[in-house]
Amino acid sequence: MAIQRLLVVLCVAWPCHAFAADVTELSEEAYLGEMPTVLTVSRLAQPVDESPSAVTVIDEETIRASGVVDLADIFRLVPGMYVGHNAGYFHTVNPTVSYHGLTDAYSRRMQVLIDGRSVYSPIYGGVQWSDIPLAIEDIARIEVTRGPNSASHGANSFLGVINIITKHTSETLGNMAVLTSGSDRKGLTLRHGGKEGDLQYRITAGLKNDQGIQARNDDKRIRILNLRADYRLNAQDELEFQFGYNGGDREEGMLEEDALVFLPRTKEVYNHFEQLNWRRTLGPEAEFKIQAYHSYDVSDDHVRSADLSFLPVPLLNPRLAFDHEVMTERYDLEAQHTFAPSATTRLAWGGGLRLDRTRSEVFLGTDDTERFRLSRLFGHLEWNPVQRLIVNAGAMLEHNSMTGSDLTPRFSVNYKLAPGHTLRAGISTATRTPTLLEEKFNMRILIPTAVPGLTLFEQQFLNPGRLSPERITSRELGYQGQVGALSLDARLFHDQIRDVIAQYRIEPFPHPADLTPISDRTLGNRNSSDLTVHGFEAQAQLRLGSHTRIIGNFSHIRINPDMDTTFTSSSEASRFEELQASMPVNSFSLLAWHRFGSGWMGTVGYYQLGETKMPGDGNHVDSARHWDLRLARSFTLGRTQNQISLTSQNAFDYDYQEFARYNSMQRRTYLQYRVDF
Amino acid sequence: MLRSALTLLACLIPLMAFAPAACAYDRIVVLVGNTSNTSDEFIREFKGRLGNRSGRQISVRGIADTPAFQADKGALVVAVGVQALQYAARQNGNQAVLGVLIPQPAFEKIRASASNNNLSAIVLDQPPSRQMRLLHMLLPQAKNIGILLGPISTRSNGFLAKAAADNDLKAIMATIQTEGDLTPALKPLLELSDALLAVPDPLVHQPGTAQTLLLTSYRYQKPVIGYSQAYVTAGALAAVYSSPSDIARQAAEVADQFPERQKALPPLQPPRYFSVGINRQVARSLGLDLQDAESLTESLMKEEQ
Repeated sequence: MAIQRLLVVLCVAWPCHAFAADVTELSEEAYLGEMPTVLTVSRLAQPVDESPSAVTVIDEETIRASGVVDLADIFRLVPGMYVGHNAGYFHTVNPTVSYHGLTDAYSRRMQVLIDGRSVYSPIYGGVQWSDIPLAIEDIARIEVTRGPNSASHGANSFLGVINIITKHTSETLGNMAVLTSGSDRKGLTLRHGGKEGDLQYRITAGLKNDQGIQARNDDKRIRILNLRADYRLNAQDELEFQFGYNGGDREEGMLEEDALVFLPRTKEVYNHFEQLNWRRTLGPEAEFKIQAYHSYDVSDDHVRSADLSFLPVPLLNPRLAFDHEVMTERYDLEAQHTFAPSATTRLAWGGGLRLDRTRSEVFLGTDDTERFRLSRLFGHLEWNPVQRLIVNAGAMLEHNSMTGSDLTPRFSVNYKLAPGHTLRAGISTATRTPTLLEEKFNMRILIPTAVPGLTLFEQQFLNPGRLSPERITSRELGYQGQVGALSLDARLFHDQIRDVIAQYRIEPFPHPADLTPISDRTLGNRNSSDLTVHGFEAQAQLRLGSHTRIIGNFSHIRINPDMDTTFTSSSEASRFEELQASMPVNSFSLLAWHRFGSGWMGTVGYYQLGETKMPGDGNHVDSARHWDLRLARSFTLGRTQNQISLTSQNAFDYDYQEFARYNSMQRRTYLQYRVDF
Repeated sequence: MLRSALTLLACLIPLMAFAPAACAYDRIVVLVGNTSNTSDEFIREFKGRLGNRSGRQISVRGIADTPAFQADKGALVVAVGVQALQYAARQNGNQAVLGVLIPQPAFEKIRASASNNNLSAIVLDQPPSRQMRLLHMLLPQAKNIGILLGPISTRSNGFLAKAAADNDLKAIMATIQTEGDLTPALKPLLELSDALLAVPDPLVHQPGTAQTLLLTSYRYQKPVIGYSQAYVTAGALAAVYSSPSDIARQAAEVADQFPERQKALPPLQPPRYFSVGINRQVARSLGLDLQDAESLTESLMKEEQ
């Protein structure tokens, strides 16, 4: 283990033993000496009944009990969330995860953070879930904010925020191996965690070969490497370093849907990140932290066209071929100070800077690197004037080089009616910055001909740019209750979204005189009309002793486009109207597990979704339901903890589709063996 | 036991009527190992409580001081901390030596090999019953208390089980032999317990393992009851503990109440004065509505009276 050796060397070079202790003798130091502050302000989750918005927490036990191997699947347990196992075919055969819909293959209206690092893509928007450099076994918990939260996380924290928190290295000491084997997926994850004085680290490496679903060109070979090191300088200061890599081959394309350019092929993806955090504890309620990260992501695609000899002109080459590389890179720096100005108030404030660099000659029509700069200032105040009342107020002031400045405030009041019963009323605003593809998608495919002076072309997209950000104002009324073993969270929401960016057809379109288009229409984006999303959602959790847990979720959501606006064309109106069906009206999910004793454990999952008609690459699919079943047996062998489990997703092999009719789901069964030693 | 109780009584009766000087050590040597903030705090409080008695000599000596410390017959030696007690215990004769700011296992180890047999101590360890009562006050719903023991603390498992049972709690104990066993032992323990009680052991609880213990317990949403103010600051929900000043107050009482010619010191004592510390942030995050630390301390004291 070269890395381990390197860490040992680093440890020798640095004073690593600020807290080294004799483990055979007990001295008065044990009682009277210092201890590092472990549960710092930022590590402590806000209790759900004091949170300014609805929050779903998915803990490690739930993740393990569910048996999911694709991270996106866990979000089926969040009320109001939609998960499509596969989305489109155009450039991303990837799961789509949206909160309250309004999504095509790219879920652009939800922020995703891993340990505070945004993995939201500046070019597509949303997250390429298979490309995240993260092993599911390293996740400590996931906090999902249901509702906008630009005040805390800035633009694009629009309909919701997923915050994935990984385990501290002190929780992953020792070794772990997880072997997954099913007819259509194989995987191996290895982890080593160690300790040298005040330095703790872990290395996680994973391989996953996934054949995806039948009739789709969606095989994935995923290689993951993660490194995390936590180093304690003294009782107040802590450094955290992370490195992550994800790379491998991904199959793309679909013959039936796009017979011209994006044909079945294999692309290569590669990404990595480096992150450094410094935390200083300033007191029981005060902390200062600085976070810096860099991420780099490349996808390398080689695209071939179909045989174009059907065109009425002789071509130099009837099969076009071109390299299609997309590169995005992000530098981000943020500082935050949390403290209690008085006995009844807590304040968190800070600021950040970001630079996004993106290059894609095919998509953006230029080989220049696009630069997107962002600066932000935020403040959040929590006021607890009397015991029953908590007032939260916050705002984010942002400036970016694409759409200028925005202020997004939010305000909420939590009132404890009685112990275990809390009412919450809130209003929150957010913006969504147009993605680079919405703003600058200028894709033109040149088709040279044998006729002198004649060059044909296909303009796939044309965007003049100058889009405004989308804006949301969300109002909600929530209830949070805890009665004995049952906890319940329910809310009514009414979200108004203005200047929705939607695709429209441009016909005819301007083009250079020396080029001849093969079609006189193309597609572009513009700020279209407004829409409202309103409805009701609830989550309930029942813990029967420490052996049984049941989680149930329900949502009822209506999306109402404002159709009073005069649209420029019927196609714009219908595109806009499509958003209406981008979320099932009703959805329901349930996960229940029970420990039978002697190490046996059984899990049942049930998921039911109403019909949808996803925009973009998606299309109409009927309402669907499926069952997941899992049986696990844990046992100890010597000093090792072992678990063997058998998971069957869609156990009864119901025939149903997700996102589009070409994504037909079947039963997928796999055996997993995990050993901790 | 009976004898010391009688002596105590014999000593207390004149105390009520006369000045205590007749009944107390006139010469006290406070022996310190390494001076530290805690020994300074002890000495300050100890002197403050005894200093106004006329004719009393209190001298402070370091174990590294020259000339080397020689037992002064007839003086009470108050040894502050493990190092000082080890030093004093090596002296010959039956010098009265009272160890303070010392863990009970360390005291017992020193006594076992000491040439001096007039050793006693006010230990830092809180009686298990006091900790169990605090636990019960904080978490009335809790039934199963997880306790992770190491090679040293495993000796107290009997006392812990009894103290738990006396408070209608069930102690679930696991013992580890190496630090590597910590995580594998902790997880199953947390699954079975409603809360974790920390019992001092250099293998299980030290600054290096606090992260694993506190973060893992927090992830399981199980509160940890610590044994020091520092543990509470680090992230334990609460702790009952005695400060150097608390111990100094008790040591001053010992010095006051036992006559100089008394052969044997009173037996080892647990701390009499203590405080409860609460970590408000942790309580809040775990969704626990707790009384304030002062009223918890008062309730505990009242119950002991």
